Amino acid sequence: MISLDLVDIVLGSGARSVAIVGTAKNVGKTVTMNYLISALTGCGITVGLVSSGRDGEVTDAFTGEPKPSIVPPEGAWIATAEGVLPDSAGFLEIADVSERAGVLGRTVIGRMRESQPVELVGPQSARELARIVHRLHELGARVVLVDGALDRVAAASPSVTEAVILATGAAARHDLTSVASSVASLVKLWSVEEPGDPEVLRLARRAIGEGRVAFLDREAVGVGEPRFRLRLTPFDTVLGREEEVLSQAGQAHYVVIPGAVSEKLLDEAVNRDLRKGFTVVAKDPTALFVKSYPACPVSVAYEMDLLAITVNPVAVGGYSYEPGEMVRAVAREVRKIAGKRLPVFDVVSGEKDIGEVHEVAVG
Amino acid sequence: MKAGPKLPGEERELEAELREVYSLSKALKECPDVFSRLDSVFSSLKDPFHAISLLKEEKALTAPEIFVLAHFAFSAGRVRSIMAESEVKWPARTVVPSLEEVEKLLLPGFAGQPVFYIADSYSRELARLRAERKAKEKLLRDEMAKEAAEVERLLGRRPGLHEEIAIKKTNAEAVEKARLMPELGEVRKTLTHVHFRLKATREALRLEREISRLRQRETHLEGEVLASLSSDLRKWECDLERAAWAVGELDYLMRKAELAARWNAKEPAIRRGLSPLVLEGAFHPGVREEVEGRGGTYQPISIVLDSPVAVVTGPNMGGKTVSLATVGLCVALAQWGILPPCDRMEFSLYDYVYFQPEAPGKPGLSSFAAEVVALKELLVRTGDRGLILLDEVGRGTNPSQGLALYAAVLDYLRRKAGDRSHVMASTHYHGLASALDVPHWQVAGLTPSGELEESEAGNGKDLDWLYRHMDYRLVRVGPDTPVPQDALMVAKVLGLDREIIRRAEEFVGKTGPGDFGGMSRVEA
Repeated sequence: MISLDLVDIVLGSGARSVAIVGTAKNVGKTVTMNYLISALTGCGITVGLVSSGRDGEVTDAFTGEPKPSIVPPEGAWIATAEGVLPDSAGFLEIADVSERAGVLGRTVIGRMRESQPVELVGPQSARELARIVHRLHELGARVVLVDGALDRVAAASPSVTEAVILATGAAARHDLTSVASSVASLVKLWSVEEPGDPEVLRLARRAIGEGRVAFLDREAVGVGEPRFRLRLTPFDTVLGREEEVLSQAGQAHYVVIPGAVSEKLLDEAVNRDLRKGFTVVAKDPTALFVKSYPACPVSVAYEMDLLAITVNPVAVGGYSYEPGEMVRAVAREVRKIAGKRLPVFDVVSGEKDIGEVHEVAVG
Repeated sequence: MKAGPKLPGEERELEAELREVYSLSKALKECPDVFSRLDSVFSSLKDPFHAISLLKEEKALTAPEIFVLAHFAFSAGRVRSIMAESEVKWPARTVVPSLEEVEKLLLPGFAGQPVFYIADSYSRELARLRAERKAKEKLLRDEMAKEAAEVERLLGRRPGLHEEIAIKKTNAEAVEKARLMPELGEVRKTLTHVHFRLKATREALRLEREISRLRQRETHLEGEVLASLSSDLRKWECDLERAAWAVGELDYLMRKAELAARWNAKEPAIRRGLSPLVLEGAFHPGVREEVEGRGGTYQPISIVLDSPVAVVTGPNMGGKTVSLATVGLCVALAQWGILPPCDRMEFSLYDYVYFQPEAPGKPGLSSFAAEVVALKELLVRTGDRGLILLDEVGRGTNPSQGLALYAAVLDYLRRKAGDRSHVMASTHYHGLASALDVPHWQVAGLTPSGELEESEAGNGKDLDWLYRHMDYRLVRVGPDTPVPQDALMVAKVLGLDREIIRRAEEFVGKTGPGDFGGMSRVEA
């Protein structure tokens, strides 16, 4: 078997932007970022770096030592808030300053004139983040890495990045099985697919583009004619009006929701005596705000490309797992719960389970 | 130029402003490439006003602020050259002064897109410090690499991320060996591993101290460079500000010209004193876009307001509210210096436009109460010259009292403000115009050819039918015009039960088409 590395997975996917999303604090997200930065740079690839929002603490809660920071190499493009840059920003060749300002000021985009640690603070909104990823590409970054977290999922939205790497670790839960099963559940949720019927997908994307909740009704028509009719509602959100929205479902087969999909809506969809197979279509998996996998059929207008999982076997409390054991446990749970073979890496120890991605799945 | 609408007394300025917009809209049609080139500059333009205000306060700019000015100077230069190369006659206030000197200072010898950094060329001392620090950093890396090589020689592995090396506890021999190595220090233990980190040698520590000292001096010198650049920039503070305003004016003027070109708009004739408001072929741009978006054909309206009060009637869905909004919009846009969306307009300037569409919902107020509160606010202004647009006042209350109130309000406005204002009032009360003896405009309504076929109703395409057959134009009618039966037709089109419609037609037959107390007679 060929020995695949995380960077091979990223390069092999062809993704021009990748979100690295931590499932909790201290799960090694920054270690994964730095690892990819150096591996990609080693392959001669210019990286672009941005974060969604800001990471909470700069020092480790347990040891009081500075947490690892991002160290972009010379030539890398970064985007960060002017409020965390020194006034002179002597290491940065500034190429853009956004018009819109966040709490820490405008977003400054520049090229590193020399390698040094930086704090990345980016916008939280998916739209602004997508704009910055695009700008980094325009300026010359070939692969843009977006630092994200579970409470700032905008980074992982397909409207922002083309692919996602999940970072989890011992710090996420107190025993290995629950660490593994919780990340596996997330993998299952984020693997929700687009509807198989291309007509449904087209109409769903149209409704999402209009920014309105819509129903798809089946039409009794002849051969070659459209089989579904898009029925736009005046609602742009379902939040707080789940029952009201679903009461208008009528004979619809699908409801398409442009914004956040709440647990309440999915529960309502199950409890209501709606037709069998009534499907909720969300914009993308990051729009599904649920604690557990929904009981009603769900699909998304834009599916996510999950590339891999990285694990950090060391927790802040001093306890840790054997890296190989942890890697295998996570890979196993992902297969069991999400029914998916996803490569799992510990980039520090080099342990990995690449999920036999080369073999043809049987059965 | 003053922002905001032009008011009575400023007719001459407004005429000049609108003429500018008109001639630029013609230029836009003749040389669209000039506009698209300017637009491409505008799309990435940086707002320099904050940086300029810092210069005025004699503060040192940060590197991002200086970048903003550098980028602005670069963009202004492009705007200047595009304007100079074109044949268009630009208004004087849009001519951008040269910022070549600013560009030279902030973007020395650059090509392509502007970037800013504190280049070595700004300070020889800074350049020297940077070189020295980099040399020391190289020495430090070499020193650490030597140590790492030693660790690798002894343990067979090189330290990895963060110069750390983790050794399995079960490998007691290696752990012991590592503990004895002067190059390594133990940092933590986990259940399975002991973690060591590369220790800095005395030489490495010395280098680190020197590097940190050099960095501090660098930061200080970089601050000095920023301060000196800021003080140099103060020389061009006025030019920067003039350029910023000129670019702003140009952008605003171009947007106005663009609208004028899209609407094919003409200059309105502005009369002095209160003269009739004449609109021909006027349309509401937002509604037209929506109508055309769904494949419909938009019908513009024409109207003359030549008396203090005019009444508009028409069926539901007949566009009464849109007509009011269109009239208000044309006047407001014109007074803001934007060519109005119509073929012809003649008017005199107003002090205000009052538009009271559907009852505004205020918490704790019924729609009728909210309407009365809004009317009170209007009546305070009757001393000024106003265009007053009222939409079905009194609809939310008892029909006969509502009508009486509406008539009284209109009569009051006619008497108190008739010599300086125009009131356009929509209503379903057909008799209101003749009761007040004022001009009556009526929505042409459902066309006679638009007889509803049985098969068309209630099939989900009713609205389309209505849109297709409704004639939205306004027609001036006399007092003897019969009341159109459009309300029942609209209800029929929208698929209301036929039995109800037939019964309603019987009632109308009994009571006649008038609207005074009709219901009570039917009930009797």
